[in-house]
Amino acid sequence: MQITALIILSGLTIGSIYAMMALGYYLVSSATGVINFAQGEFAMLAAVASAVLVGLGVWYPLAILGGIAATLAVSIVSFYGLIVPLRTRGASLDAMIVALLGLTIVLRYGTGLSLGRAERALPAPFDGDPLIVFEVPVQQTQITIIFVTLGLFLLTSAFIRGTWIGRSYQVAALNPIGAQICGVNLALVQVIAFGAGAIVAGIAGWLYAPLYAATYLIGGDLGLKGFLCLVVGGLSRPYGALAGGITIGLLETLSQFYVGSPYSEGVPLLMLIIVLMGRPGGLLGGGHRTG
Amino acid sequence: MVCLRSLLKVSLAASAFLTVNLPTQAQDSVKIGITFDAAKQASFYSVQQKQALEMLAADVNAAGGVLGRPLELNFLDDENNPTIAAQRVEQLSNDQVAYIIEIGSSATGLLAQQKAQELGIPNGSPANQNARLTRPNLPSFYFRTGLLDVTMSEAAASYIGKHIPNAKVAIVKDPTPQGLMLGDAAERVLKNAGISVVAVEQVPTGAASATPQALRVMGSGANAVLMVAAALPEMVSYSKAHRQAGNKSPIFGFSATGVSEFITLAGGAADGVIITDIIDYDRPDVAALTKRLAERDPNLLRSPFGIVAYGYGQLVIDAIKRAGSTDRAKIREAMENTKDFPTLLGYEGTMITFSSSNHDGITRAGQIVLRVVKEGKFVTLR
Repeated sequence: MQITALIILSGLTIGSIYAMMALGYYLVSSATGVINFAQGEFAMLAAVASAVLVGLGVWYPLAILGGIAATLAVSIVSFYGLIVPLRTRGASLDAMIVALLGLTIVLRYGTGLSLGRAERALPAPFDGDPLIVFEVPVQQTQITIIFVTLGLFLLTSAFIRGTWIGRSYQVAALNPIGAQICGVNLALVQVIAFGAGAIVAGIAGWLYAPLYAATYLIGGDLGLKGFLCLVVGGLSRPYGALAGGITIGLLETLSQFYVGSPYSEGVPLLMLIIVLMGRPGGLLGGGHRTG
Repeated sequence: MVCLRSLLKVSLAASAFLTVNLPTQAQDSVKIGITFDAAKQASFYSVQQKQALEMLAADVNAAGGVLGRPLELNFLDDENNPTIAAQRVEQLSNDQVAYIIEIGSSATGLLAQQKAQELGIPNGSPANQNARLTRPNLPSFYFRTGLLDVTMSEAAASYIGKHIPNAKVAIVKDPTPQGLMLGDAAERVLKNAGISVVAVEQVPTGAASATPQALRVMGSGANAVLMVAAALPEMVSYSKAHRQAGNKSPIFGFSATGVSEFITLAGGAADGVIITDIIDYDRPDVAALTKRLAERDPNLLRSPFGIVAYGYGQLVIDAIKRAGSTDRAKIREAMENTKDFPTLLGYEGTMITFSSSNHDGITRAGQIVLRVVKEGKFVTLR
């Protein structure tokens, strides 16, 4: 019982991180149609910058906000520096995606060069003794991650349904010209999408780093897993990201325990193939939207 | 006009002077080439070693240089790419270096070593661990003082054999090529020592939790765990999960966990971990060097990389002095004839000896330093 609970808890924790990463992708792609492969590096940047600030003695909440603000700034600069000029020149979505892939390399090694390559510790927001729930030791960090994830999804859902910018999101991606005719400020919606995606990735990076380490190399894996989770869960609605993240997180952890680690690394990819064969739109997806 | 003519004469004279004197000055220095990773995956330890070698060169030059000539270090970035590393060796060879020190990854070291062998340049590494590095060619031009997987495993096996009755060991590794290699070596050595290996677990790269691995280790009935990984955060994840699962069996770590970052990242989960390492930070000479290195870069405080690089550089300088020239063949011979060279590695009194059949400086479990983490600090076991 205790063993099963520990494995499920571990799967939910990892799955929550993946779900947040997937949500970041969703927020960008649902408004712009662009898959921003730099999301993983945004998470990394927030984690490393926060860890640097904490190391410099900055008050913890300010350090975290500083790290996320740095990520937000970089995402907005990259939007105006890469996406807007490419769009102005009539570049295809593929060209934008490739440009963002290039940005991942710049961000990864640029962070390594400027902020250092050492593995830094970033303390968790709540890191006291584990709470014992039905004889199962539960780390406070794990509870924080799961609750923050749920909160982010509820907030996103409310934002998309309850605000005019949120409602403009999908229209902007589906038919940019039509959206503009209807009075949607396309540039504003898209820059908000990039910013929101970066903030969510930054929060994921902040919560992931205490479990692992804050280092310039963490973005690649986080970015890839987040994207896979979104595709598995479905690109068309935010809860697809949650479904994908939790499914992959649980399957990964369960397979590591029951099958063994060397074989478990293929689980997300296997899951992706199975889901795409059966439901091309993902677990919660109605149909595949190309943007 | 007269002025212009005078200027021209002075310029020509200056050019002639420089043309005659600059190459002579360059020939006058004793050159050592260094391949290193400036920005990629191996850069973390590569750059730390680079800084230590720069400090060594400054120390050597302040004391009069080598063979009465200034010591010049020529650093080239191998970009953590084996092919580029081999090209850099060729470049350094053309630059007439007397010796090449490789402070990048073991993977780049392999091709760099082959190229250096082909060109007949004595070379080696302070930290590379891949067993293949010292095996392929004889007479080899390659010399190293890196802590070998086999030697670390033997030291751990010896301690476990003495202190844990009926030892049943679980090996925990990471999936990097280096991690897999270390895991294989550890399993082989433990089995040869008659110690039962009851589980071999792998913590995936980037794993934020190693709970499944920790629970499998518990389920295997292991009464000791050997963490052999090359990647630090994965071992931090394992240590935390081991404690969270309530496993009381001792954890042994290889040198990758012997850095201060392990304690910072793992926090309380690091307490009690016993580490097989190569540096005794309590040695007065090591403590003094650590202090100087940390003044240069705080990251070098309690980092083994600066010390191993400085120690290796001392060994090379000594060989060049004994060779009495910068002739590569003579330096290779002098390195091979190194006998009882007092080193910064190991417990006080540890010596490095090479021979025609052994180009590894650290080969015996007795040369390994054992340290334990107690209340967030490393304590050397005597």
